Amino acid sequence: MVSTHDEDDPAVVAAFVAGDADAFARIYERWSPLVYSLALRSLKQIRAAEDVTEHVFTTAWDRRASIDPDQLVVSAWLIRLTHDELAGRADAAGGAVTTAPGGPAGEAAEQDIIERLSVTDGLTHLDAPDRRVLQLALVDHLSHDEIAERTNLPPLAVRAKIHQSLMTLRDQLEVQTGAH
Amino acid sequence: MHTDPDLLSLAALGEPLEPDDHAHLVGCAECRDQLAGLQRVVELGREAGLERLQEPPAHLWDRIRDELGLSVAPERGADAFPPPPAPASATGRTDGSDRAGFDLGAVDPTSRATASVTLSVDGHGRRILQLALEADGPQHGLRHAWLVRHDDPSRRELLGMLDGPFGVWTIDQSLDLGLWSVLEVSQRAEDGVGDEALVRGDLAAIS
Ligand SMILES: [Zn+2]
Repeated sequence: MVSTHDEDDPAVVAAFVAGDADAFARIYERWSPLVYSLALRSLKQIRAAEDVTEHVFTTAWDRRASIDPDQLVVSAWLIRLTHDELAGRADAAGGAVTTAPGGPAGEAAEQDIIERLSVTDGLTHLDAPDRRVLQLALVDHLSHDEIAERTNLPPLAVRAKIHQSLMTLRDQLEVQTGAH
Repeated sequence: MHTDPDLLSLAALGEPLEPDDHAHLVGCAECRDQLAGLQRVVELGREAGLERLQEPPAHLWDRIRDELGLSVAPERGADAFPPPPAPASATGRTDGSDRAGFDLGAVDPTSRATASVTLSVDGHGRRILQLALEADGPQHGLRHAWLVRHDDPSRRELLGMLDGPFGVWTIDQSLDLGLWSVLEVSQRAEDGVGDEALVRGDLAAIS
């Protein structure tokens, strides 16, 4: 169930837990756009989103010794830290800031953002040809036969690619958001 | 036998199933579950459309690294720029709403031209810059807004054209505003040759 991203490679996670700064840099490279984009969508302020991202990654570094590398899915953990920080800020603001998540409606809206961005992130990291095929189905609403014609791939191969890509996105979504 | 998983994906995308597969789904909770999961991904993927994630500005990693006292630099190119100097011509304000605002000052000290600018982020993460210019002088002649590198003012990117005194633009995600932090509005000369800078300010004033 753990994704095959190299950043979730047990060796990278173990190195990070042991205090390897290069492993931490790789994790930052891979996941900071997701953390930053979550904060941006939620707070709608560039400066505040930078502060949240900084806080999430410094916290991740500080708490690295307390995690079990065999159990940890890094991205899910970072998303949880981001969620906690956003919730903490909403509480501190007394829920008065309209753009901050607060209350059940805010929670639901934030969950929607997290799920959408998880899929966006997954799409970004598909291999380019797979992404192209899936976008033709998702965005251009083409049938798999039309995609086969457009891309000169056999229809069976298009079907298989689409299914493989959707499963990759679904697995990442489940791991990162607990959605099922 | 369960429905071919490939076909469940096609069904999730809206392609019709054969009657046999359809009949199987009615009686099989496992395949229905599988289909529901795929449909959720399709729904989210379509909602996201061509949405992109935003990269945090390069200086953020430097800040984190410095704060933690780490001695690595990931391969991010020559990103370790010093923070831009505080500008004299721009004054920042954050009004507690979802926007950050600041003012641009006149380039020609004898002019009273100013512009007020707000920078906000919409629901898709796009950075929206709105500008309102207050300037005397000729009302004809095209006006352009530019983003200029604070460390190399010869490098400038056209943000767009003003409509009279107003402009609204989205800022391309590839532009790091920590670097392309100077905003300038210029006016085309009456004879159509050459641009004169009217107002200028540093977006760093808002952070
Ligand atoms: Zn079945």
